[in-house]
Amino acid sequence: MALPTAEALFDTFFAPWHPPEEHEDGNVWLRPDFEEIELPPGTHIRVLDRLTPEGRAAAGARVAGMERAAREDWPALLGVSGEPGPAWLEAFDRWATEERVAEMLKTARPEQSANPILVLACEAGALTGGLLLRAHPGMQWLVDWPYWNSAVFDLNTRTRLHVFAWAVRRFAAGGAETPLLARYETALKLLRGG
Amino acid sequence: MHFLAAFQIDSDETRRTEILCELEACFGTWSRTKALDHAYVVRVPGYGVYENIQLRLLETARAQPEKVFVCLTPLMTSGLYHGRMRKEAAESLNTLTDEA
Repeated sequence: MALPTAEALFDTFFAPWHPPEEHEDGNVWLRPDFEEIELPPGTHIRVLDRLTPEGRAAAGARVAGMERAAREDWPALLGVSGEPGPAWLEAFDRWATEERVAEMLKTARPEQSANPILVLACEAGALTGGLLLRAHPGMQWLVDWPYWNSAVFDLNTRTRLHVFAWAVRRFAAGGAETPLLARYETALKLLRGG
Repeated sequence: MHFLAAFQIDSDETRRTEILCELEACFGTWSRTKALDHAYVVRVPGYGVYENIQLRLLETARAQPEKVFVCLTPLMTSGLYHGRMRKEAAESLNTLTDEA
């Protein structure tokens, strides 16, 4: 079974969970891997944030919840242990073979929000974001809704990294060629000016 | 792994049935037992699924014009449920948590 494109995966498993008004506004699409944001000097990061304080808290809680879920679920799933680190991403990449992803796609039901494709992609996105924040402390979460539209943001380079989109792309056709670990390492190099 | 979800729905009986049906749909196809009229024990494979069910339940509860309250236990990997339940509920609960 050939894996679908990342856009098709997003449209099937994620798009249906976006609020109707987002669909009407044409705002439901798979985000790019990263974006460089135009932010005039002195402008507060808040201008990039479209959520209310309550919405921000809710999205932040979900992102934190999915990172916690990855910490709890991955040791049994991937055989990892200890504190999460790049080795966890490497184990995830090793586990997510084309055959395993195809098998998941056969049984995953998009009408269930707790289907394995959405859950694992969100765990991977949240964990990757958490690792980036720890490796490059200048970064912060820029949360959005649904929570998988959240990104990690670096104010110095004004770069927004859409880590959840990385995870969706990892499960799509050609995903194994751009492993999560490689994306993580490339991002750190970029942020450190390498 | 399993958790218990309990609901309080402040509405008339007809709406309560409709809302309960919507809340139950949030569990998807994951195995569950209706332990009490408004309380379910649900078996899930891990924390990520639990997090996403939690989100759907809260969104569904908030979307109702009536007051709907939701209480979830933490996700449990072992342990026994105790109480006084209908026989079939108790038996089904034992099977569900035995497999978890």
